[in-house]
Amino acid sequence: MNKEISEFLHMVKISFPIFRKSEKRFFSDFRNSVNDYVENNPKCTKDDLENHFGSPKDIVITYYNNMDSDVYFTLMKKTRYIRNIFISVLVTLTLLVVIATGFFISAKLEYDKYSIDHLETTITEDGVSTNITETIIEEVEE
Amino acid sequence: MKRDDSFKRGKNNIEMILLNILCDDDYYGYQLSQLVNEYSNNMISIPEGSLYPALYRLQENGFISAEKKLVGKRLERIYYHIEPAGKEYLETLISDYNHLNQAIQNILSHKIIQ
Repeated sequence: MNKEISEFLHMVKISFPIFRKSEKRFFSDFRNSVNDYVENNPKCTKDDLENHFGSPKDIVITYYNNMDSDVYFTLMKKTRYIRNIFISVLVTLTLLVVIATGFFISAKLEYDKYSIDHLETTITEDGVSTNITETIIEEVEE
Repeated sequence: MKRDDSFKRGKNNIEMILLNILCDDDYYGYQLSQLVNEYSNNMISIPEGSLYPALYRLQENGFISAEKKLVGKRLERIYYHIEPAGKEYLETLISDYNHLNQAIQNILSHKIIQ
């Protein structure tokens, strides 16, 4: 299969908004039709394929136009359900991030109110241990 | 007549055409689309987006069956075969089509008279 034919089939495949079992079945049969066409027209180009079968978008639109109404409505309902769940999760995550950021900024501001005025380092004579004392002297005046 | 009836008639016409052709012999998808073109003198063309969904519906309803046949060394083709139930369904479709055709002719005749 030459590059143009592969490219045409790839464009058809990615034109499907979803690719369930039924779309896979149709695409497999469609690919066989393309192969049969190419067998009868070995020198065909991508333009020839589009002239004969239609543009990738038209092929997909025709497929969905011929879908059973019940199947179509069920699919649309599922799609809407999944979309609503996705939006809810996204909004929840965004809120959590905003709240967490708010807490962090608040804690940081609280921390910044105090400054270390001086450090006292005490070294004992035996040199064994070192005591370091940090003394927070006063709250920074705003 | 319900509104969706006219929409379904379009699909029924495709099924009628395909079943009629399959009465002659078993054919695969591409072959069916070529034969529709040929028998209609290029007046009717069934795109693959309509052809295969129609074949799937007919298969699901038991009007046709599908069989994979090996062609050459690797290539497999799906051949469709009309079942007895499909032949009965075809008769119904042809009858409906003739009734619709007559109804349209009546409307057209009425307009001409006026």
